[in-house]
Amino acid sequence: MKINNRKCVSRVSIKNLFTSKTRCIVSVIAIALTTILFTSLFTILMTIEKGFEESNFRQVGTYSHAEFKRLTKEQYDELRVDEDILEYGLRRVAGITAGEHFVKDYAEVSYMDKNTAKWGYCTPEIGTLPKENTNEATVDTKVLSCLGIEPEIGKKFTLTMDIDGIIVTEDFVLSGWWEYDEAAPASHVLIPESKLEELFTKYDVQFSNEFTGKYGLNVMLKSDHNIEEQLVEILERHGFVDGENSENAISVGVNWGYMGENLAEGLDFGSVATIAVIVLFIVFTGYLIIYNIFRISVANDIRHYGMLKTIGTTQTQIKSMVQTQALILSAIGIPIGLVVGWITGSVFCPVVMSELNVYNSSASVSPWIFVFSAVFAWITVMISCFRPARTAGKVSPVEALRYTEQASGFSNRSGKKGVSLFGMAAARLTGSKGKTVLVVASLALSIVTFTLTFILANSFDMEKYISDVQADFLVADSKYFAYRWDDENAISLEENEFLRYMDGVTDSFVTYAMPNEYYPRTYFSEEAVREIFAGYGDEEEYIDEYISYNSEADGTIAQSVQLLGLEGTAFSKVKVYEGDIAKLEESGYIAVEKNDYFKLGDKLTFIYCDKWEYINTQTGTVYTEFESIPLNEYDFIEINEETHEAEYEIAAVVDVPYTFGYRFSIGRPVFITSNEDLSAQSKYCKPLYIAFDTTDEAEAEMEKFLADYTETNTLRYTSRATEAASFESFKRMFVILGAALSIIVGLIGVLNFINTMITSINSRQREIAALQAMGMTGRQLCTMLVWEGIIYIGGSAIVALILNLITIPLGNLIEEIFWFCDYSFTLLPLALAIPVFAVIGIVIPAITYRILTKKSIVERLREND
Amino acid sequence: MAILETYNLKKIYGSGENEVHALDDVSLNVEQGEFVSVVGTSGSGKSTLLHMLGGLDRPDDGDVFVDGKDIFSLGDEELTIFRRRKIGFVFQNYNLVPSLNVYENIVLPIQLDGREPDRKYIDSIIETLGLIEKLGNLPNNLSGGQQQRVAIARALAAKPAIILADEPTGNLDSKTSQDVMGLLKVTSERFSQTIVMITHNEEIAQMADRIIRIEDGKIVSGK
Repeated sequence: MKINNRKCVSRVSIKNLFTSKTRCIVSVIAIALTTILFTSLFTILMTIEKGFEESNFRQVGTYSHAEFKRLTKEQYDELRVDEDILEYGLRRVAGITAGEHFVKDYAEVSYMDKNTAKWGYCTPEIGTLPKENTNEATVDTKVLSCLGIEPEIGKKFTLTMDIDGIIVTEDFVLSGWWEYDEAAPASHVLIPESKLEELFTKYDVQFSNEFTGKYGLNVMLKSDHNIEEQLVEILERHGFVDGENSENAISVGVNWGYMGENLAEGLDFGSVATIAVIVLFIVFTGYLIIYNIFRISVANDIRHYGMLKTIGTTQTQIKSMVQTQALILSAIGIPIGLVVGWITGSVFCPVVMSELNVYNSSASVSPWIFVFSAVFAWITVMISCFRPARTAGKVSPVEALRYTEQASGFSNRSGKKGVSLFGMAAARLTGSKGKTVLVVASLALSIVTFTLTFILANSFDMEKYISDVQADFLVADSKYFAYRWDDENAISLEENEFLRYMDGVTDSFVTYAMPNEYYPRTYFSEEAVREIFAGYGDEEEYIDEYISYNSEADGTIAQSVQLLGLEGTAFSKVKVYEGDIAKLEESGYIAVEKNDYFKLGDKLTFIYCDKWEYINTQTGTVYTEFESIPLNEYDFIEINEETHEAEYEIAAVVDVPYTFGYRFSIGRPVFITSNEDLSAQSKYCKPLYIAFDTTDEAEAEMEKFLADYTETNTLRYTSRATEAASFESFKRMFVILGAALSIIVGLIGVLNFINTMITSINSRQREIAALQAMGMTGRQLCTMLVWEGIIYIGGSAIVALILNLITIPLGNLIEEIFWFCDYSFTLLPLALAIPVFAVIGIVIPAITYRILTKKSIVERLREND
Repeated sequence: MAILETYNLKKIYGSGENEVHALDDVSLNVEQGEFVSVVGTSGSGKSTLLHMLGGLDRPDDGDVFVDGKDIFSLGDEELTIFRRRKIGFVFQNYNLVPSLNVYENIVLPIQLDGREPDRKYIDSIIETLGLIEKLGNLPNNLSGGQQQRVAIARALAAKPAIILADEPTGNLDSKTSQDVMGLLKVTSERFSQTIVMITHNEEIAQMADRIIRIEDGKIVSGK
């Protein structure tokens, strides 16, 4: 038989809920605080994801989903109206800039419609896109600086361009500009489509290359999932195929910024584990208080539930009454938490983002933040009220009348000593152990969060961090600092060597490196290769295949490695674990970064590449760049490589800090040789950076000079001072986040404490009135209550101390995670936290005493529960 | 010698039409060692009288002398201290401290006063009330009668001038009520205690030396 009693159950539970206002307020705050923690966390995570995505898009140069490349006008007109294409934009390339202004850099000259410009971050910040049938042009600031013209609307300028191999010079009028983004793949000059056509006619362009004048269709699809499949589908619908080399083939380019898809897929185990730990921590924090609130309120209402049972309410109904209360409280608390949490999170986003080297975008408003946060908060509430609901449901009507919390404590306690006020307080708390444990855990958690933040931040060792910086100043191309160094952005010694001879410079050195396509190779054992490839996350099968293809007769496999050329004092700045680095000045010796595969005294063969080119076996044409090979010749291309070998003995095992080398790793040990040797072995080696020390007096002057100097070119510099500043800012982020977390967790702990104190005093009003009747003075009563508070705080301090002591052995682990940490344990934060909590522990009971004594003893004695 | 005297006690609750004269000009004397019961219907003012006698509530007018001391001339804290030395309470619902065991509950008033309990005296009370086996128990593990015996022991422990009992058998069945009353009477004789007990139960009231009847805030007999 199905009886619809849902409404009645809800009504009873709602009525019961609002009988205690304090309880409602406290639970709503508790649920809101828990939600705040979740929402802040997810807001920061989603904003980081958004930042990564944005960084990717900026590197790709657009956030359109994909592009149909090199279309004819007919193909373009046919495809753009496809039903699956939500929005589209057109781009047609004229050529690239040329001439004296663009020796170092070049810009692409093209027509973009409004959509394409918008998606490609080419919307002018000042002015407008070029108007049709004019000779207007819109450019980025890099083009302006290359041309050396003032940003001014209506400014006339001439531009030399390479259009399909024809060098032409034309007049333009500046109609707008936007800030060039360092991350962008190319610089742009935008011209009207009419101008594009005009240029083609005027110079009789033959369209001999693949892209000139072709229609590029940029599209936004209905969804950013499975972009490639959607494109293929569109192509097939119109009778085309995805590809390059046939009559009806159209090539497509999917925006790889969407391929990473989302943070979740790109996360490594460590980050997932960290997030999981934080989420669990929040669930636990929330559980401690929400569970306690429900536990206490069920205990206080137990007679009410007993009465309901007596009149025929079932266990399930009572359970659902408690859950309905949880639902109502969550319905109020969670939305508040979502709003406050998002605001909190977005306040902290800039702090985090600036440390992560991702595009600093505004806080994400992804609905997932709110969905995840609400779900996790709701789960926490459900877990928390599960047991109290069961207790309420299981209550026997008879026992309910006798039920007090002590029933779960000791049944007997021998002793004939009598008790003091402290003893009474202690007896009270040990009698209701569950409640005490929850409050103590809750308070201890916040103390531990605070102390660990403090200890960690205190352990961040500036000296250790700076010791990794090899010189007072280091100057290199900005790409070097962006982890994208290759030979094209080697620092020019002709232009910059003067830095080494400036006033105050005491010592200097240049480090040489190889561009990645010319990395030398040396032989690794099969085991080593397996380990390295496994480290990349490669599949076993792939590794097997790779090894069987590439291993030499003796089972070794040649692998490219990073090799650095050092000179002069640079050697003395390398930390040597064993061996003698001075030997490197003779030829035939090499040093290696400490690793598992090579040891001191090993003899190695290095293979240097002297020549690398692509030859079309049919025509005999030689290409030096893969990119310049025409698509239809791919099938006939062979690689022609010339190499020579050099023998080395490992003379030293050293530490190569990342600021010393390429600033990115390829997962294999870094080798060091001398500059002389490197230059002799390879004509491709290039200077990586110039580093130098100055006298203390000259330091500030040099800092200023370099700041100005690097404004004028693509160089960037770091100094001990800037490194120290970036270290400080990282530390600050850590402290800010830790402090914010401590504060919220602390609020939860204190709220739990307040709620427990108030409810416990409320529930024993009559007991306390009787104590007063038999002669307990107000002073004594207050003292007893304060003792209760102090025991809570003292207990929390002891638990926190124990937890802190447990972290001491973790010091090594922490030093491993944060290499610049010098873990130093201190009890100072605990000593700082205790007085604050002690004050709370004294003030709260004193306040509850006041609330209590508002009613006269007689009134309280008469109260029937 | 009168251990307890009241003169013209007045207590009025509410005002205007709702004015209730809970006590209206009540004067009475209780002699040392006397066992007095106060009977009256619900709302007759007997509880208010007891609260006045114990200094839990202040009268609008009139005085209460306990052991020759005008108790309402004392400040709140002084009155509380006076109460724990001179007055013992026994409540209808026992009002034991649930987290303390039986012994700790019994000696609590003495220790609140900062004194050491008189072991011999306490032991004899415990023995008289048959609580030896239960000393380590927490109140929740005791029956109602046992709890009330603990409350009586607690009231006696401080050797007060007077014990005030507010419906001490109100929560007990008749058999247990008789037992508890017997013990109350025995202890009052053995330790020569003065007891004022309020009740609405005539049968219980009959066990006292004197019965005072109270109606509408006025003593109607037994003065």
